[in-house]
Amino acid sequence: MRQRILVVDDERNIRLLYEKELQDEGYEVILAADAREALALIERGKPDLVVLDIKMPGMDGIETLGQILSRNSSIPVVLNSAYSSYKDSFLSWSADAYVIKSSDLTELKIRIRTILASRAGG
Amino acid sequence: LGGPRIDDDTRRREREIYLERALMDSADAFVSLDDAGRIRGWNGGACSMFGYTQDEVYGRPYDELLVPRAQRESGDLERIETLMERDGFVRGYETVRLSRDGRTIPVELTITRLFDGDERPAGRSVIYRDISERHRLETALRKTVEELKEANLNIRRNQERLLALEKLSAIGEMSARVAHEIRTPLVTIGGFANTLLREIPESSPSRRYLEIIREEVRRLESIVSEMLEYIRPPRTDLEKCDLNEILLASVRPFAADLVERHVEAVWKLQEVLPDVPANRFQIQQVFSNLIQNAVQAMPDGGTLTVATATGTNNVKVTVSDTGIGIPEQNRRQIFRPFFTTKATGSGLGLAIASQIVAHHNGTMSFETAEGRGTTFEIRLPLSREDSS
Repeated sequence: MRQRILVVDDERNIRLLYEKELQDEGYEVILAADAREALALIERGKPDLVVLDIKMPGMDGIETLGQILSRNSSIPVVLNSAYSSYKDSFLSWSADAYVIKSSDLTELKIRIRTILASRAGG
Repeated sequence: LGGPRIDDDTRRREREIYLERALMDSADAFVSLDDAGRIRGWNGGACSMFGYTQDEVYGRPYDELLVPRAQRESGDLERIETLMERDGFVRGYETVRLSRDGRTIPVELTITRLFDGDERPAGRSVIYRDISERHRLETALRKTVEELKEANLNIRRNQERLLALEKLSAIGEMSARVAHEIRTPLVTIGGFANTLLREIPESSPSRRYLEIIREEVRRLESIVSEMLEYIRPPRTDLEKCDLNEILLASVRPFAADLVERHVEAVWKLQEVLPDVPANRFQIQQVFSNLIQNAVQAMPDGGTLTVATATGTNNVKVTVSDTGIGIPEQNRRQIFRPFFTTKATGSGLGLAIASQIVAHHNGTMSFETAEGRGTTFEIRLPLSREDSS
């Protein structure tokens, strides 16, 4: 069965890009434009991994991360931001990875693969 | 009939005795001179003010005895004569007179003409009042006023620098926001170029164009990253630093420059200097900026003096040049970002330096004289606690 990845980002074009790129990697991709949508989707069907933008209108990614972990701490989360500054925030340490946004999605894809592989193995 | 007469005489005598005593014992010096300017009368106040007894001065010319040479040469006595001729008296005239032990005493003079019983001129009376205490107070007051002016100026300078810093950080914040905003569309442009590159056949001539898009996007991304790195608020990782050592390291890269420009480096480092908590890299940046400015201020050679000393709860570093100095109209602006007088300057050197020093809770100031040179002084606190 294909692994399901939830992409949370307020930028429509980023969602489209990630959807296409991650589908091509063989994942099932579901999309959310904000934290509220993301939490609702997690309630309905637990994804195998969440790619989470940080700077979003309303609840930001760091706060969303807290909500996800408090509901279901076993879902791995990859923070994905244009900002590197949140890396120093200790709240972001509870994420499984922190990837700075880049047009080259290689690092993001490698991180996702590695995390999912380690989860499957453990 | 004889009674009242005797009474009047007694009263008059009594009055004269009291007046004489008052005159003799007065703290002001009463001196009477004859027509030729020789001393004839000399009260107790004059004894203690000038240090001569009445017998020692009797008949001596007062100007030789009491008027300092400098005063005579500057026309002091002529001025007094002019006033006497004009008004017939002198009141509240400030000058200095000489005591027996060579001290000059600031005095205020009152001079009036004396007449004998037949209303004929019979010399002058001169009253000297010692005004050294008033002078001392005036000097103290003047000093206090100067200090207040200086303090006021410092406050204004600090205010201006604070404004400059605020502007700098506002520019930094704005640049950071713009850089982040640019990053997201770059991700999608380059990302989709990659997607397309994967999907179109190897033989398609369009691949070349997509590759160009990908490359250019990567280039823009690295510019954005570098810019964000540059404007990131400096980390204040402080370690114990020996400022002498950092100064030496800061001057080293300029060694060839110094020789080429005929600049002599003079070191006045305090031998045992206490360490200060500082970010070594940033402080070296500050010193380098100051040294570079100093060297550039001396196109025709000169002396670069680097000094360190321990102050009250701080370490003082000064970098001096004997160069062109900073023109009056530029002095207020030198810490402003993007202010420069050099053809190739970014105008950020001193702005960054002052920001770094401020981050260390230190102070930075300068003194300059056109054609004589400039000295920059930095004070860094000895401990974080002393730093506010």
